[in-house]
Amino acid sequence: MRISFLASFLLFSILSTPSVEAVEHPNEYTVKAAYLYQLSKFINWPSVDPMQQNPLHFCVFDSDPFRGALQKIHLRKVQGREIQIHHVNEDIALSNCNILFIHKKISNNFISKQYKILSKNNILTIGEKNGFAKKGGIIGFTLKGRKIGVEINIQAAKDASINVSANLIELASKVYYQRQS
Amino acid sequence: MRLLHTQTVRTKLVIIAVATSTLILLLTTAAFLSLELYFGHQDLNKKLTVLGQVIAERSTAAVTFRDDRLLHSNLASLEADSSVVQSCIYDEEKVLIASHSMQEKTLACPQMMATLKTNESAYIEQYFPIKLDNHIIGTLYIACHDNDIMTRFQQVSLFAVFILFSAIIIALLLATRLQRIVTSPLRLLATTIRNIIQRNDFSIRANKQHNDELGHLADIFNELLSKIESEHSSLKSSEEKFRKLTSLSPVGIFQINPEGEIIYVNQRWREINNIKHQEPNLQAWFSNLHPEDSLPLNKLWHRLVTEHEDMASEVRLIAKNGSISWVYIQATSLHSKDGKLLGFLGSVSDISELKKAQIQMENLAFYDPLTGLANRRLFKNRLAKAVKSVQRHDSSIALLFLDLDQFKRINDTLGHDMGDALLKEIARRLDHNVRENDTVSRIGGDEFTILLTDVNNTNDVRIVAEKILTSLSRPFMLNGQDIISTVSIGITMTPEDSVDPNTLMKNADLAMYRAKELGRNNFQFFSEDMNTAILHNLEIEKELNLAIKRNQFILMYQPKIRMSDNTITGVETLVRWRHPEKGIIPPDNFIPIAEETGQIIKIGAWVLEHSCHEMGALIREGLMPDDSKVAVNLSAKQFSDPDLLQTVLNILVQSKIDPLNLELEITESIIMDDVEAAIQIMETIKSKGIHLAIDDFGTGYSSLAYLKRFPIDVLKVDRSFVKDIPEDKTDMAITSAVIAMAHKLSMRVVAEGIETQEQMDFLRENNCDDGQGYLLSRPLTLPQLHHFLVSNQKTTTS
Repeated sequence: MRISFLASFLLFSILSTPSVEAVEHPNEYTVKAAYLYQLSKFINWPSVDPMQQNPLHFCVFDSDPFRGALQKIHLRKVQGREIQIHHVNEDIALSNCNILFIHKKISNNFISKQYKILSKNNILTIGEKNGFAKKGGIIGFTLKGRKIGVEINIQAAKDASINVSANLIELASKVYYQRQS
Repeated sequence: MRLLHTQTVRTKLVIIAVATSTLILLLTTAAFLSLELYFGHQDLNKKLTVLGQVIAERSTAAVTFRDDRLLHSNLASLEADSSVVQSCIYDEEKVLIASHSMQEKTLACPQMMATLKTNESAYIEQYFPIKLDNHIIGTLYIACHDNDIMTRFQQVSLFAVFILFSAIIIALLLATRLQRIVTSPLRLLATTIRNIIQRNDFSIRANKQHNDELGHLADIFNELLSKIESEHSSLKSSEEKFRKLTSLSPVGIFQINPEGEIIYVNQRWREINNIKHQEPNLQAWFSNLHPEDSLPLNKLWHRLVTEHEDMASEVRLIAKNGSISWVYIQATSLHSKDGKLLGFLGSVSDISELKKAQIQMENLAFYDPLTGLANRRLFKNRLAKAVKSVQRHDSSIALLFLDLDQFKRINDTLGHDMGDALLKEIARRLDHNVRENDTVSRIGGDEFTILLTDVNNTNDVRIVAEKILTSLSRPFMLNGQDIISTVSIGITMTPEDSVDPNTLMKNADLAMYRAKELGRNNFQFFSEDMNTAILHNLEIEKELNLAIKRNQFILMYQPKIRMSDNTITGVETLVRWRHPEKGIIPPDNFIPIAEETGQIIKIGAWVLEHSCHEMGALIREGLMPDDSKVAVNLSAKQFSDPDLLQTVLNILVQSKIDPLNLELEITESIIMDDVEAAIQIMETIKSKGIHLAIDDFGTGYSSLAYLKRFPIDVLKVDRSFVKDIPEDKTDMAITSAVIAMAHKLSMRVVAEGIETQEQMDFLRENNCDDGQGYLLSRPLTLPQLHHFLVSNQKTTTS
């Protein structure tokens, strides 16, 4: 009930004209897509020239669990930046991404391996796997029952020179202050 | 405000000071308290804003992700501020998603669906948008109470009230102190003024205590005092001068205030009004007025008091001893510059002496000083009035004209003092015989008039006239002598005779002359024939003028014969008027008229000239002896003519006769009119060698004492004595006595009117010198005289 309420709230805030169907059957990734969109509002990337209306590159790593749900947020604006959905894999350079979604199938080792590149390119990493944040991801989704929560690794954010809003941190169910290998 | 007006300056000042400070403090306090309240609320609002913005900012994620725990914890954090009562958070759709009540009393969150307003006004509310990425994602509502502010407000108010009361008390104290600064110099000034008024001393000065406006006021006041003092002293000195002047003034001066009380009189006023010691009082003063003057003066006085009309009046005052004095009262009203009545000022002069003199003057003007009777002027006035009155009232008045008979002779013989005494006594008797409203007056020397009013008929007048004649017929005892003085009275009456006063006077005069003609001592009523006689006389007068011019006079000569030898001694010239129509007119019919008109002078001169001329011729012809005389009568006018002597001498020279040949005959009465003057004239004539004769001797009142002084050569015995010889023995005795006396006085005696031989014999026996009369010769014309003389010569020579 709560989730459906939250989902419908989130969906409503995303979609100007929400479909009746979507409201009635909010699927997990539909909610997560909306969640991602809202999350991006609490994040500040470094050295972003506000005058330079760079697009916000939203990259989905490897496999896409959203099944088109992300299309809902494609080209929407966050902090004045246009969201552009990209699908990336290991071959394609990640350096252009601002947000990198890593779904739960991908091992957390990926983060450990790619940590330096990700930090260097100021990429906000968001994952679904348990312990994602603990392992060095910046924000990890948790699902407690049907309620989506976030875990935040402050160190990782610092390393990536990404500022996570205190409000969001306050919301986090867990906050890590160091990266565990 | 009216209440304030009745308070003293002191109270006013205190009230105003306290009221003003209280008002200011109240306003200030109210302003401060309002500000306190306002700023308290503003502060609260600001605080609330800060709080709200912080919480709103902090709640963005919680709202976004619907973290109820976080939302609640955020809202609960507001409890840190005790004033926050309620906080609520709404989502984008204004649906309440979290709320927190801080106190037991839970306040419901406002219904956001409709409006973001709550009905609760006891709280301070604010809404804050919760923004994320420039989008409002929710709303925070915070309500807080203002209890702290109110508590603080109450405390401050309490303190302010305390301050207010303290301030009022301080203001009261200060004002009390302050008013002394203002009022004490004023009181001092007032005390000074009161002292000046009480002591009437303008030399007192006010003390100047401070050098402020009040000190300045004291200075000005002192300046004013100096001015008043100097004016007061000049006023005093001027008043002193006035008093000195009035005390020396021969005029009584009084001053009266507007209430009618006498406030000042000088010494002279007291003397005049005989109010020496008691306080002068208007009523008492006026009560001394003569009753006749009281009402007119009171009227004038009333006009003065009510209309401020100046008054002046002559009134009589009656002294306590009953003596009356005349005073002249003048009074005028006094006014200030702005026309306010100050009182009345007047003067009183004693004009008794003036009045006495005035009355005397009036008496002199209207009364005869000798007899006290009305004089001619007053009589004429009364006559004029009486005549007017008669014309109105249809009654009669009578005018009596009285002339004393022979008064001149009495005056001459007894002296003027006796004459005056006689006139006085006559006046007394006349006055005694008429009624009170009849007027007796003396209009000339011995002429009196009497005006009888309210006369019914002539009989009334006759009775009065008879009474007067009877009364005057009694002898007058003067200086031990009995004197008889009779009077001739002419009477005229109005309206029968005339209604003109002058005509009446003339009528009465005419009637009086008629009475004289009729032998004196009687009265005659005027009648129209008297006027006719007058007209006749006027006609004669005119004709006489012609007669003189045309030589209508002729001379007749009556010879005088010497008794002893029947020889002719002279002639008496008699004049006749040969009137061209009326024939020969005897002298009696025109001589008196010529005498009255003065024509006698010319006629007389003509007679003299012709007489002398013809006499000279006769003597030279030898028909008359060398010493014969022509006797010419002189009338009274001629005798008193100052040119008489010169005229006579001229004629003598022209006619070439000796003065010895001329004899001038004068009647006894002419001489007696003015004896002394007559003697002088006669002596002058006599000195030229001209003879003088007294004509008609015995008919007048010649005194023998005078007779001896007269330079008379001839005495002619009147024909009235001769006529009755020899029948009247008395006349014969008188005639012989007169002849004897004349001889004793060395006068020749000529008897007139000898008509019989008996008369001739008697006169011859008594040694009468010459005779004249019809027995001897009638008056003859010149040719007849010629013939008479020639035949006479023949007789004597034959």
